[in-house]
Amino acid sequence: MSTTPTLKRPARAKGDRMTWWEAIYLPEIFRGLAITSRHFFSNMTGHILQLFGLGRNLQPAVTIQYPEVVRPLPERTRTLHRLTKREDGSPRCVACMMCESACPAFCIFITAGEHPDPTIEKYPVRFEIDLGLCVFCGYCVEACPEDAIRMDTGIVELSTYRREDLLLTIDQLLKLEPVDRTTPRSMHPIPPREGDGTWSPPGVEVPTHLRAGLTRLSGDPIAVGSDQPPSS
Amino acid sequence: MPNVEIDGRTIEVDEGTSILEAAGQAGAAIPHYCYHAGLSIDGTCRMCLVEVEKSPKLVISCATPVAEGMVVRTESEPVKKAVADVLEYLLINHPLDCPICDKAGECGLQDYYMEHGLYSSRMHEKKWLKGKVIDIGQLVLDQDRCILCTRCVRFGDEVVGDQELGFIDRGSRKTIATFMDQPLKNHYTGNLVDICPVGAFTDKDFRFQARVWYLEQTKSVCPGCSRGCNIEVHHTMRRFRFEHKRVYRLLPRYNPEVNGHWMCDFGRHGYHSVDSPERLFFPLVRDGDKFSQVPWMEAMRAAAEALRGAVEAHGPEAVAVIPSAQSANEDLFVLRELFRDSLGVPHIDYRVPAAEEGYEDEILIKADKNPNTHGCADLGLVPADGGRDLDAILAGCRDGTIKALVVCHHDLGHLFPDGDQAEALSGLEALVFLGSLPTSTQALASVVLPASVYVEREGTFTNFAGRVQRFWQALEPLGEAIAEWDIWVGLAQALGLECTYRSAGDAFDALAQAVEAYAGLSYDTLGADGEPAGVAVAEAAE
Repeated sequence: MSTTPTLKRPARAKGDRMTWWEAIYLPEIFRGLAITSRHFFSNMTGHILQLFGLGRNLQPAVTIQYPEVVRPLPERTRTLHRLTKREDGSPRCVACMMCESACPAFCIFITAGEHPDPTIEKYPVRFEIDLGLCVFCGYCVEACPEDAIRMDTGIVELSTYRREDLLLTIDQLLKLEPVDRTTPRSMHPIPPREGDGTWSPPGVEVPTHLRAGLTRLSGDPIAVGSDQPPSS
Repeated sequence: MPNVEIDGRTIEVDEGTSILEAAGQAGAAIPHYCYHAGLSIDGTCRMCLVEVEKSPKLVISCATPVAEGMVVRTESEPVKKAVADVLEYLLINHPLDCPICDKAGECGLQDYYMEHGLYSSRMHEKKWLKGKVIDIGQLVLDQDRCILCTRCVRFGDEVVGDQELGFIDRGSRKTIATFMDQPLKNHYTGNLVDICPVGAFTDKDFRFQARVWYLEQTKSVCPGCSRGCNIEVHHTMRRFRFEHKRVYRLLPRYNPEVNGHWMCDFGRHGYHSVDSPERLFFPLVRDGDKFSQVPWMEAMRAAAEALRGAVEAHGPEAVAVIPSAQSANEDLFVLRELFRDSLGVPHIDYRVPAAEEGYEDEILIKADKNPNTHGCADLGLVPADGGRDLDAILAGCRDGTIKALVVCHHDLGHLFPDGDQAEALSGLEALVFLGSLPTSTQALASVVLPASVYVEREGTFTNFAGRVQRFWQALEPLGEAIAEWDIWVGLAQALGLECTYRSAGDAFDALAQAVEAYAGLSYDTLGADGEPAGVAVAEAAE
């Protein structure tokens, strides 16, 4: 039989009554000021010493002057997605929908088309990532059997003025480049959307039903499950 | 009957049963590719090897009949080794293009590899490449993926009866092909995709549309013809917001009494109208030359006022109803109660001839393209005493004796060879149209009531042989469409009549009480395979 360990109540738990010393406030105010002043003077001293090449081992607090100065991101940070390309510039993606299946946020949408080259056979006509839904978990990169999607653009500034702009289409994803490691971070802006958001191999006409365009952007014309019982 | 011991379990099976089938009855699943319950035994794949006591080597269980006192082991070490070796052999030239293969997720090679294989490849040689993406009509053939089980060849020989597919070449180059890559001409090609244990055949209709693990399955009945093949509807809402597509394919569901393992291509590809943007989504009321979209209440009121007005001014003889054999039994029953029993309309006739003669064959396809003609006949939706048949109803529309007409689903355009449908029906005070898709008759209606389609509701069809078969709801209706029986219930209530059916089951059970042929049937016990109507009547007659 195991004995239940009894937890000893700490002498002073949170929420207990303040002592008289604390209740008069003034000593605590001076204690707080002392902490702030200690950080201020130690940081100042550190920065001034380092100005003259001294105190290398000191680590004074740093403020980064964003956006003029950008902080280098750790190498494996998951940033904005991009689609990698074959040597001829066509997407490596074969529209197998593994990323779409793996995505826990349902933010990827792919439409597959028939590639004229039988050794490729399947290609993405549409490949869309809705950044408004994406949780940047990286499962899509893990799931991809073709190394066709990566999250290495170094782009983390994703804010837009319109919700629709958070939907990245295949042409945008193909234009993105990996971050250049010699500079702290990619300064590529997200390329603007071009065309109707579809891609097709040269000389291939995208079937009209696949070209349907960005229905997501135009909204759902058909509501589901909005039936009203006629007798109510 | 021989007794046989399989994995320590002794069972008694019929004479001539193969070990594989006996194992199935004993609850032991033996891996197999070339064996198919609907086809003859071939024994080419060698996957179903089992150990039989006193037999010098392993035997293929699909082609070995059981004998008295046989002791079979399906999971011994030699069997496991043999199955893994056969699998390795089958995978020597298999391309492993699972990411782009539509069969992935329901593929025999994938499933058995996870169960029995799980080795890494020992092959250093290049794979033999045969042919990919070969267009053979409705299907696309991938010879690389084929494991030469011959199911498709036997299907062509035994079920369809034309030998379109066969083997060419020998050894590693042996492959399945049609003569000179000619397209398949039979109307059952979709079954090849189903029976192929790998992805050698893909249906152009489903090719690249969705991954199979997206799809949910709902049991249903094909509405394509009066055969009423049992089907499974594969659907998902996952991609609807982008594609406006919900149903992705139909697959046959085994029912030995109706369709066996198979279904035809017409039925298989007949689901596209379900997600058609053309569909009638909202109740419409005529407003001059065009329709205006109205709430259900208003449409019901408009239809009820028109019908009541016609009945009060001219008597029920001035109203005619043309029901449709596309409707389920429940719809027809509520329609009958409403129009014949409550309003006293004598002119009811469902027998609208098809615009063109339907294709028919000896396998499954019936010429009658309506799923429920038998149900209409059982319910007696033909003119009562003094009632007019279809021709007389249309003549009445012309000469003004019919003031209000109710049409379900039909396109009556072809009944007016002079093309004067609009003129002939212009004399009507009210034309109430109930349906899911627009037709030339719908365009002339004064009130349009949108009905949900078969995958959006439940109900029963009675097939050509009188088998009552149930279908289930897979999806929510699009727009504001509702089930047909529900529309009639609403219309009855708008007319101030008592009509209290709250579900298709309610309506069916009332139908079983009221119609002699359906006596003894119950909606809840109908089951997935359906039951023949008229059994209780026949038994009573005996």
